Amino acid sequence: MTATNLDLNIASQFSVTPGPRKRTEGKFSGQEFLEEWLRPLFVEALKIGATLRVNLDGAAGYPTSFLEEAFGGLAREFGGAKVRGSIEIDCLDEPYLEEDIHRYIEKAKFQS
Amino acid sequence: MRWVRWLAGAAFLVCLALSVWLGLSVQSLKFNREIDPGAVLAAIATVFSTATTLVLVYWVNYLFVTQSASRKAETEILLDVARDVKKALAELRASAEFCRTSHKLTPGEQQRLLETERELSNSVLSLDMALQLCPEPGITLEKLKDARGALKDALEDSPFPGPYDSASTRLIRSAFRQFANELIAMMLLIARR
Repeated sequence: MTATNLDLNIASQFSVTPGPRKRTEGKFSGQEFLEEWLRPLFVEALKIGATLRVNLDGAAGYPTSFLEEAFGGLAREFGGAKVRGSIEIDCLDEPYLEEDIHRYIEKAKFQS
Repeated sequence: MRWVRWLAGAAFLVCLALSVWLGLSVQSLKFNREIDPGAVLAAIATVFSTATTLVLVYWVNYLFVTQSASRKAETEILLDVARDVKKALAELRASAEFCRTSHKLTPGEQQRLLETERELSNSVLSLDMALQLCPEPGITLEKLKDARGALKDALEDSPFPGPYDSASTRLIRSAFRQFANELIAMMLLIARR
């Protein structure tokens, strides 16, 4: 099994101004981020046995609705344990975001 | 507390003078050949015992004063950091004034809300770190951290970026109140340490 890590920097690869929860509510939504960046890279990481390192630095701020839709959405699809085991969160700009994201993953109900 | 040190120092000097005087007295007694060796030994023992006690009292007092000053300085630092949290809370409250039922937040208002919420979050983190450096049994930050998470969710979860419904605005007000209460409780605990 390969131990290479996959990196995703939200500010440089997606947007410096993450938006609301759903695409219908505005640009750079959590749903858009989940569908176009987070889920594909997460699936790739699972496939090669790597860890997906998500860096949140450089953005202007992250609304709960964006984070919950993206990370909670991933946990609803794949299960909290699998998401926790394959994702690392890094944020020096606002270190508590890591705890927040783990809380959203924890609360999300797995929909098999 | 400086006067206590002066007092202890003065007592020490008096004791020293007393022992010198006693020494001289003993010497004069020796010349008169009226010396009582038992009484001399008892006097020397008393002088040494008194001197040792005074030195100990002086040092115990000195250590107490030093530690008490350092603890007071730590408390002041912790309260300063807690005041920064209070200030950040006031900033966030001002930004949250725009979270109304009547309109959606403009991009500028959204940005201000996110920035001030980040400031609050990082100020709580600073308090967290300061408390780790000056640990105190009975003071934990868990309730304040939970209140911070609840406040962030109330402000920025759906229906962010608005318009907010009346249930959401009630939730926001309640989350602000809860956070403020936890912060006051924390500041009082720090002040009483």
